[in-house]
Amino acid sequence: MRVGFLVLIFSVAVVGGTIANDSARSVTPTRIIEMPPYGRVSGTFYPVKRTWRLTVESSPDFRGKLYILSEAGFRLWMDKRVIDSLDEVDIHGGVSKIFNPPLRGPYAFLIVNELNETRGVTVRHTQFGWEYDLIVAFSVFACVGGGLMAVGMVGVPWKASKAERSEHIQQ
Amino acid sequence: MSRFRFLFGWEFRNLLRFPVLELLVGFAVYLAVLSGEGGTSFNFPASIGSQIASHIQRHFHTKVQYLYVPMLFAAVVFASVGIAREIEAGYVKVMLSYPMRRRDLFLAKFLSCFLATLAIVGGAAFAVMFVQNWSVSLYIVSFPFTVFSVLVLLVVQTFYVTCVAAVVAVLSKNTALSFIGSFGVLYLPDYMSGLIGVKVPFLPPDSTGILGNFLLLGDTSAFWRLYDLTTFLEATVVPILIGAVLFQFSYVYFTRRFDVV
Repeated sequence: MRVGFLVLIFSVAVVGGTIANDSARSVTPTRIIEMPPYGRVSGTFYPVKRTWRLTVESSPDFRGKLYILSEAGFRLWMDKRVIDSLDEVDIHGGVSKIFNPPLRGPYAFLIVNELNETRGVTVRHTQFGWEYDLIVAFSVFACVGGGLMAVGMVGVPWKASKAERSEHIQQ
Repeated sequence: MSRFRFLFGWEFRNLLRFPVLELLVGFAVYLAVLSGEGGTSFNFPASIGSQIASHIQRHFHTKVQYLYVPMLFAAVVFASVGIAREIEAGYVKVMLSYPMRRRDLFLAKFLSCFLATLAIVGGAAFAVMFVQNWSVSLYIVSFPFTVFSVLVLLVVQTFYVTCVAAVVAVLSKNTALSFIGSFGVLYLPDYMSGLIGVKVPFLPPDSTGILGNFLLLGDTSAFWRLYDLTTFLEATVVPILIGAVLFQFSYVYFTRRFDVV
């Protein structure tokens, strides 16, 4: 029963903390990058499993591409300069890309300048929404904890009555 | 030694009885989740391994500082229940009527408070770190220094908090007074300094933040740009010194001056 109650309390605390935490914050780091002609700039990012919006802003005549890379894709890009992206989008002056990470973990973005001119680019990440994976997983754990607790509460008198029955039989 | 072990085991079980453990775990886990910093932008072009290491360290070190409130709450509850209440109710008097050393009794009580607090808060920090970032937490095996540095931070902060709570409990000999008194002594400096926007580098949790930064950045120019040598010494030596002096005082008071009659 005690283990069940402990699991229940832990799960409720995780769910409550996650909801409170996600309601209170949205992460928005900004970077300003100077991109050389035909230059490629990448950056890594560790998102929790929330909706991730990546906004790229530049001059109206800027032309380029934005790639979203997984950890393996980022390593491939770093080692062999091969682009194997999860998602890609054309940039015409600027772009706002919404990405839902399939798993928690490190991701990367890669911006390619297709112009033969240097351009200043502003990159802004924003995370919003709740971490549904945590909330769902720990709601299930809370139910399991509640179940264990109930089994413990019912099981203790059942054990007692079994002992009493065996005593009766012995007598 | 076997008598001390028996006493220690009894004290430990006594402190973690239902529902104290459950409520403290719930509180610690809730605040540990709340202190999660979420997504982090890594420094390019460092390798992804070192970026993950840096992320884990930053996340962990921040958590220890944030967990000061549940830590002090756990230590205060344990010291009040395990020391002050037992003196007030006369259990200590009964125990000392048996052939046992006061030293063993005090050390068993202090160690059980210290270890129970450390176990609850450390367990909550590591569990929440794993829950929130399980994909990168697996990398932690590759960075044992991170685990070690977090343990150092936890031990230093817990030692200070437990020593203050123990000395208040021994001197007050009253459960309510011990609870309110040690909570006030431990929490008010932090609350007041936050209110007026001043950092107190020689007391936790600010000192833990400085020590955490040192463990994160190392003996580098980046660290010395942020802090001078005096601040660093204040943050590392003073909390341990205060804790040691208070521990010594409560030990001497309990073993030599404390009148059970």
